[in-house]
Amino acid sequence: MEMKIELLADGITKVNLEGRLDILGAQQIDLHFNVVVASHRRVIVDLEQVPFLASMGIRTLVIGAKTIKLKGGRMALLKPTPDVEKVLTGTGTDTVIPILHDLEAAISSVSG
Amino acid sequence: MPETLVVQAEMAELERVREWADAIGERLGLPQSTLFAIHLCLEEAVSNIVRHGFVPRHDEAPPNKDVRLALAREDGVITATIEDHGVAFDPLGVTAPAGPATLDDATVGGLGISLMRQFAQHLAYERRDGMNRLTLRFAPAEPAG
Repeated sequence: MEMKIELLADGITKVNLEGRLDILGAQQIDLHFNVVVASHRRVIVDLEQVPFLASMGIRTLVIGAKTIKLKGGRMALLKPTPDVEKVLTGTGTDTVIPILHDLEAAISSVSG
Repeated sequence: MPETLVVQAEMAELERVREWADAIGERLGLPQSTLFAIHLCLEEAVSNIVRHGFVPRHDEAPPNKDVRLALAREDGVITATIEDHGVAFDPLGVTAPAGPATLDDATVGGLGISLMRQFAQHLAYERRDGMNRLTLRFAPAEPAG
């Protein structure tokens, strides 16, 4: 699992994940991801290159979203694959972290 | 004839489980979504065994941490079985957490069993001869391509 940071306009941070977000993948990014969510308030997590998501990956995302919310910020998930989105909706994660399939919509979601 | 794999109840073994399931999925020409469901359920089941299946006891012989996995296809239905020697645990007896109303309500535990229920079309559990046996079935798979 790889993680790259992209700084967008208006203080928005895009976290580009690449690889499986399974237990091992979550372990690989947890520290770096936690540093990013602790230091940024508007975060878009791009899941387009994430072919797999399991419960430990959801844990990483939810804890990250909670951390950002505590600071009055917002997080959104961008372009999950159909199978990954099914995991997110099946666990109700989509009701607490917005899922968008368009970058502009994701930017709007975390702005304001 | 099922294909089988025996791993140890350790997180590092999940990679072997993934590779094994991938190879079988390719050989059987499973659709991507079916293989995704199988991978997800195997990961959740095996990781639960690793995290919760064994209680350290210093006064007893080391536990048998073998986890036996099997995958088979019959009449288009994929059946996965996971057997382990850990503490008795029936995942079907666990109440799935309710979907969170707010981010504050969102929990990070118990999701694995909930996901297995959603991605497998059938789950069955039995405890026999000191072993847990979890059986999952996945919808008839159509050949890929």
